[in-house]
Amino acid sequence: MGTGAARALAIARGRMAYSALARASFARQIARLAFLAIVAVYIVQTMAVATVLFRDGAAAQVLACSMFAAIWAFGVVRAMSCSLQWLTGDPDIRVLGALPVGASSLFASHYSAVLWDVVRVQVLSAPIVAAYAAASQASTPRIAAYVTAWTLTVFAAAALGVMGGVLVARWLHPGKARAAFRIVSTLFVVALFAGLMRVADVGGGWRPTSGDVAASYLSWVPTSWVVTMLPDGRWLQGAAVASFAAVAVASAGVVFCRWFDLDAAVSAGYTSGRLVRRTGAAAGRPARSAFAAMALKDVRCALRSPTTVARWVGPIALTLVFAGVAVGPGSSATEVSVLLHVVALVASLVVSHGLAEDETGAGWVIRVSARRGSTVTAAKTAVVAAITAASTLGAVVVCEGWTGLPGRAGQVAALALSYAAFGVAIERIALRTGHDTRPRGPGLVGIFARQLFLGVAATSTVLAEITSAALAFAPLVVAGAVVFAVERAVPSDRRLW
Amino acid sequence: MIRAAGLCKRYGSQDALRSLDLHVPAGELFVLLGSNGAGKTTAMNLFATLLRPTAGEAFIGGHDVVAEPMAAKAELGYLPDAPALYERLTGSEFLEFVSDLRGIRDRGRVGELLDVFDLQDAARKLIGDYSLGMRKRVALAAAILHRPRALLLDEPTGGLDPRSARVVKDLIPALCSEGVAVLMATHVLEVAEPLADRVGILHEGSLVACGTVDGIMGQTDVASLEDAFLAATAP
Repeated sequence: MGTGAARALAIARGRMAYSALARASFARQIARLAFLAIVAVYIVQTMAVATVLFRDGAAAQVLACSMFAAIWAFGVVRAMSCSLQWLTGDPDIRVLGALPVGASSLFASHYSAVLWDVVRVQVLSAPIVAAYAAASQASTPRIAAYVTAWTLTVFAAAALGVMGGVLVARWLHPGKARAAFRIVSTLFVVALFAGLMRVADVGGGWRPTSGDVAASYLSWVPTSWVVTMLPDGRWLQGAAVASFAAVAVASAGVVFCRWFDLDAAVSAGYTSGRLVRRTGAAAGRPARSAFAAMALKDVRCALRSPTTVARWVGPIALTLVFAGVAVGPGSSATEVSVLLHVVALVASLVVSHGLAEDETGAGWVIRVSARRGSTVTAAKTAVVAAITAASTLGAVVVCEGWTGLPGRAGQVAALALSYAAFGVAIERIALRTGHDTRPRGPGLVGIFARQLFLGVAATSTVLAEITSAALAFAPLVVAGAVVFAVERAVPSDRRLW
Repeated sequence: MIRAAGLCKRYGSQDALRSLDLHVPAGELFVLLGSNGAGKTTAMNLFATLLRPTAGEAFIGGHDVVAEPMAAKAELGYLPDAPALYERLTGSEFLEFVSDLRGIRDRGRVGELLDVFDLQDAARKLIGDYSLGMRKRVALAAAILHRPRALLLDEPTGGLDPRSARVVKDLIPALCSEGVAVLMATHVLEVAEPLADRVGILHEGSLVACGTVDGIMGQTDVASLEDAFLAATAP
């Protein structure tokens, strides 16, 4: 019973994942075109990363070790976050918990859910992984082994995340555990990227400056074994990765079966009814315009979401870390421009995602009211731009203090607005509703749309570095116009708003 | 007020709704009955402008839902079957938000509806903490906030406790008496029978019977609406 049920649950989860992929594509012709366009972006990104970052053999290996470690660690953190979410209030758990299945079956379902979530995130780093393979000029069997080993590290990341999630949920209060974990994980990832920046010497041509130190610290990370097995042909490293993944998954299963607490998981979904302090009765407040109402609603929803607030910690911490690591006394205006682009990118991406996600469920409220989608887009863009501007302005203040360079209020405003508009447009494509107007998660098109966002932002950043700050806006404007046009071509009953 | 002519909706190779012809004049309550998957929610979503018809036309207050969606939406109130709401707004904030979207200047209307639906105590709590019944009451309040001339109700009493269900069942005839055209979809015959002015039975996307409750029972020569429904939807 247990094995059969586990298989059925895993198959069901796989079907759901496939179904999410299949149904996420909107008008099929447009999806195909978007898919082809984004595959082209992927190829360009891979070639660009291979040329820019991995052209120098010895340095490339150190750089790849540090980048892959950061990507993998992000996967582990993401998996733990997803696991905690599932274990502390996911509606699925009440359904599954009521079925006559054992803990191993629940583990199969839980692990497959977490794995799918990690895969959706890790696929964003595929051009970097592919670029290292392309730059190494290794034989086809070696590349196949490299890809397989990388895939196994993703399985391991999901397993470690499940283990961590189960243990945290077991011994901490679910609500506090979720909130604390979000903030700690964000800071952890920022610290990782700070380490990566120091190793890679961002702003100094991405040439590793402390290769030996990095290599010694990172040699124990499984992704480093994947990196070294490619040029050196160390098959033993591949076997080690496979063993590590197998042990991680098995250990996750043991930990889950031993310490998963169904009663705590189900009761975590019930809340005590939080009150929101109000300043006065509704009757006393004046009516607002639709634009102001949308903006206020978005701000309220964002500020009351621990997830969104935790995500905002990222850009703020990143600003300080990046300014401390990459920008210092004597830094050039170019380095400051790169910093501003990175901060604007991160801030606009995380905030626009949160604001668009709110409309995947409740968007019908707007769609049945007599308001045009452009009002919603404008309001969301304004909110994202305000938050992005605040983040980048913080970066400017820090940079001014460090470098003595003059302020760049105009550039900050233009950056914030262009990244915000692009971010909102991308999230409108990435998230959408299905035939039955119920929300659909980001599918294949959504994943690649975000890849496009990262690619365009990276291109803008590089242009800011090698040409001028003004020219760096061009890719954002062009890509934003294309995305907007694609969105307009989508039938109105499939649009998010 | 609510009218459909040859309204069709197809998902891939499946016909969800086949050539629906319907007219609900002002002040009438028309109940669409049907089994699960009969096409009731698809019909409601088409009238609510959330879906685009594959063929045919739908009108709200004389406005084509495809050609003049904004004018149609201005006349329309809609309660979905399982309303997803903004979890991190309070009940009163949500109603204020809808009120602003609808361009309503009178804030007193929000308080009035919170009273009607017995939501004053819950108005300061986040919607994420509401039960299904409370969500439905908030969504229904939002649907009638702007005093629509046409109201679409998809399973309005589903998930409600007896007291809340009574409030809804009392409210609907009151709205009709004010001239609102109400199109209600349900599969609960006990709710439909005492309320409906006219009833339509949907089966596999087609309207297989339409008329007053007595008329439909007469057409099928049976003694109850339940028997009439079973006869009309027999395989």
